[in-house]
Amino acid sequence: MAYTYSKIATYNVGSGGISSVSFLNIPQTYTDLIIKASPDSTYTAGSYGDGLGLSYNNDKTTTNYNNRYFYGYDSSSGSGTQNANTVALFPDDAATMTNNVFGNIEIYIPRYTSNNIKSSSIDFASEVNSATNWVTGFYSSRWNNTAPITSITLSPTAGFVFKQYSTFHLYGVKAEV
Amino acid sequence: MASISLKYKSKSGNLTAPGDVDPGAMIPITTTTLTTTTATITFSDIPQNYEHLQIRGFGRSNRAAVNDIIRVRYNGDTGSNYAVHVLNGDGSLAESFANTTQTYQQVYIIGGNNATSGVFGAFITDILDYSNTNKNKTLRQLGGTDNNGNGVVGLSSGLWMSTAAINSITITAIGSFLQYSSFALYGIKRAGA
Repeated sequence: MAYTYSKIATYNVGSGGISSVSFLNIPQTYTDLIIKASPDSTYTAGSYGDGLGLSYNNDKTTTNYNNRYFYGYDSSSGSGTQNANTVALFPDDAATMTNNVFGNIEIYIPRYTSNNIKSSSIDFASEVNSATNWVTGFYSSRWNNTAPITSITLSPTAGFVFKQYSTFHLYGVKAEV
Repeated sequence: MASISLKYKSKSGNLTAPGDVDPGAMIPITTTTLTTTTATITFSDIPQNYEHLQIRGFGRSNRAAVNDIIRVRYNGDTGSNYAVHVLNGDGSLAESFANTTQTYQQVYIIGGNNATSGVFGAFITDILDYSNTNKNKTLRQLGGTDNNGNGVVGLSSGLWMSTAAINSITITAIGSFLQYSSFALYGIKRAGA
């Protein structure tokens, strides 16, 4: 019996950082998946943080993914779309960032074992102790593939590494059927 | 018609003692539902054996306005150690703004006393890695209130410039919370915990 909200896996980044985090062999027994992530990146040129890349089943072809986003930053807001697998922004090591501040991200992936195109919704906060260079918002992301999701890979899109103390947690949600 | 009680079911589906039941990853810690007007809600002595905290709230205050604003403090810290960043929509316009060097996180809108009777605001707050002493603490909060003609919906993020483990959370508003306002604290476990 699976419980309504179950913990599946946790990854805590150790000393030296890591370039990506993968959840492999994901059980196919839940209805939905949730990822809670609190990352930081070594990227130094992203004045509004680094991007979080999300890939399924080792499909690293970013053009197989689409997203639509709505976000607030500084004193502005905006919305747009990308043909890419970015699903959130989070703090990095740029001079505009604040030390020891990590992202606050939730990724919701419904019906991950279905044979439909996979959609997900994401809300995120990239915090900084300043009135500028912060970003908070939403992404709606699509993987143009009908395969059940058996693995998930998260990586910083600027090509650097997740810093020590970044955390990634995978949960399963079981609906009554 | 057969009925099966799930109260004492274990992972395997066998009947077992209540203490053997694994309730999963999301654990209710405490809930406060007001029976009288109350200025301050405090969750104290928060257990440190979870990975994340979540607050689910439903609130209305006696402020003489349509809306009121939720304010959050941690560990009784009244210093200017808080920042908040907000993305709001009011039904016609989107806006973003920041408040830094604050003495609390002024994070979200609930119903005020001039709202239609019975109108409350609703929100969910996630605080990740609340006991991790290597991180300054961030929250992410989604919520809003609608008064059939005006209201606000949005996403807020907040920063507490402290790496201390969070052991208490204090929630206030400009006014005082009215009867039936409710605040529930949950702990989210990590795998292996």
